[in-house]
Amino acid sequence: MTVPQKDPHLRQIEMWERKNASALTSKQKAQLFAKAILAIELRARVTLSNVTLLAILDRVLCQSKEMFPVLAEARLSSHFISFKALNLRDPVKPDDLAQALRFILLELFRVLGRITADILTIPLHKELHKVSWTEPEET
Amino acid sequence: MKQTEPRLHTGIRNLDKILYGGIPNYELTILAGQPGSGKTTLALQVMFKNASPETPAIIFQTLSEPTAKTLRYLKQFSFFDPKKLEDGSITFIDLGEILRSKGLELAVDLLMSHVKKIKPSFVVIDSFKVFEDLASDRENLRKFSYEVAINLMAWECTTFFLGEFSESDIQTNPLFSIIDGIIVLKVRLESGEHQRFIQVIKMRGTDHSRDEHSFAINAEGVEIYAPRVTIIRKPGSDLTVPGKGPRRAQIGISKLDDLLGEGIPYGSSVLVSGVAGTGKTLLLLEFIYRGAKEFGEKGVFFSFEETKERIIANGKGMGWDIEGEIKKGNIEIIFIPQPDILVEKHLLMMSECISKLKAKRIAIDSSSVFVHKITDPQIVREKIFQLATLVQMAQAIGFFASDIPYGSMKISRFGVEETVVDGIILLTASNDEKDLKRERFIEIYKLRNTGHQSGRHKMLIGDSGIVIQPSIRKKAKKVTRRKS
Repeated sequence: MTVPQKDPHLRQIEMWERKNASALTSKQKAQLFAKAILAIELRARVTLSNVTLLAILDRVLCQSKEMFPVLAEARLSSHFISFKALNLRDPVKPDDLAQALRFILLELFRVLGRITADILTIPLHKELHKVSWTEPEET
Repeated sequence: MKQTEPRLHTGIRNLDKILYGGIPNYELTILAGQPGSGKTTLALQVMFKNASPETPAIIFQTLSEPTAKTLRYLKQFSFFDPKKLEDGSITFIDLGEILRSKGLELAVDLLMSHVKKIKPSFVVIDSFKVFEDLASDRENLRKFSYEVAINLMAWECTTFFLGEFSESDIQTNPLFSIIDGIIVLKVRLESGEHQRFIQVIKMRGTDHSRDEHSFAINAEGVEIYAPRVTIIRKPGSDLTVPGKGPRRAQIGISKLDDLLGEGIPYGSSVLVSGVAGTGKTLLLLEFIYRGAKEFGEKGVFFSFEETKERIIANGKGMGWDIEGEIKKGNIEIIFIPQPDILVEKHLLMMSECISKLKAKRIAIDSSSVFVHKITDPQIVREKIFQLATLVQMAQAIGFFASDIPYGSMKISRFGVEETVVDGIILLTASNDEKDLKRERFIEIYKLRNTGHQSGRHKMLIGDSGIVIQPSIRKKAKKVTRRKS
């Protein structure tokens, strides 16, 4: 009997969460996930170009919105997924939002991994581990 | 090239073999070809094989063919399964009217809105060529094609763009620089018949055959005959007895085994050459009959000239119960009328028949008729080689009749067969001046790896088969045949 292998992306996210998010509130977690998504977008863009990345982000966002109504107002900008309309500083449902953004992060890893035959997987995982929580700057 | 990525198994006979395993997932492939070349049938057959409620397919129809027509035409194929339309496995979307009114500007959004809704694993756009007409210029077309390709890739769709693209499009059309695969379908007159051909020009992520392969569209759909990739000699597969060399067969025809010395090694093909009336067909038939009757070896007789009934009757005239052996499943006679011969199709059919019967004796009457439509001697040679390969693959013995023209000094019809086969039995005839009788002779002209008798020997057609009167003083070295 073989033990089913855990999703390697999920494993990386859990490891990263244990180190960086275990003491955070849901609101802080949501902010951390948004920061991680941005870091992954920036790293992926270097290899894939903006057009390709946007198509992938569009897909990930479309699927995530179907599963998490809390993401309804999230938009695809000309470069990134924009969470501006979600009010990360003071979200209405921080638990749901943190969960939804975690899903986007995981789905982004999965899609990028499959499409690039996992060539980008390790660099993206490394990029994730560079991200840590800091208080959002006042704008 | 190492195969690392999962493949789409097309379900089309031999296409995966041409692609060395199938189409790599998420690739965008163009199916190019003139109208009527089989693009739509091929793409839809792949969809019906692979689409499921979990891995759905969208078939976008543009301006080339109304969906109602396509559906009606599809019903004739055995791969068509109406359930796949009911359970959402396959969705047809007719974009014709919308494209006519809205043009190219909104086409990407329109296509992607359906993709986002259905989340297909497979997408077919039939035909993509229409977007060329809608594009204002080449740059516009390039941008559009790129956007569609990128978006479908992002959704991990394995995609087919169909279109009446020509050879020059491959060089100049901007679409061809962004796609992963190009499969070209052609129809042309060859050997006096309209024949279909398929060729994989490019397929990223996999090595593939670069040859043209003939194919047909029948009730099953597209069926590719690809003897160059399916009929391949396997080195080291010859049957051998340790310390004694190859396993050999006795033929069972009176005295012929004396001429053949140790016997013919299994896996060998032998050309039985002679002008008309020298006894080739009878020799082939007795070879098959004796194999079944005396050695329990199954045999198949492929005839392109005489019907099965006539062959059985010929045997009956010699007292051979061919029909009885057919009933026992030891002999199969397959008649393919000469005008119906399609060499690549029938090579495939022969291959399947031989392996299904587990035939150890194969007669082809005649190889010269089988390849008679081919005018290029190199192709004749290739096809005879493929016939010989069928024999080698089955580790059987093959007798191929070859008609030599009267008065010719050749030992085969086309002058190339003898270089491919392992042995040649030459049948000749001459008139006896004394009693004005025609006399037949047999000669083992060549037999690889076998000590055999040389020279001509009288051959008679007696009441119960061929009788050879060897003009020999000493028998060739012979090994006793082991009962297998």
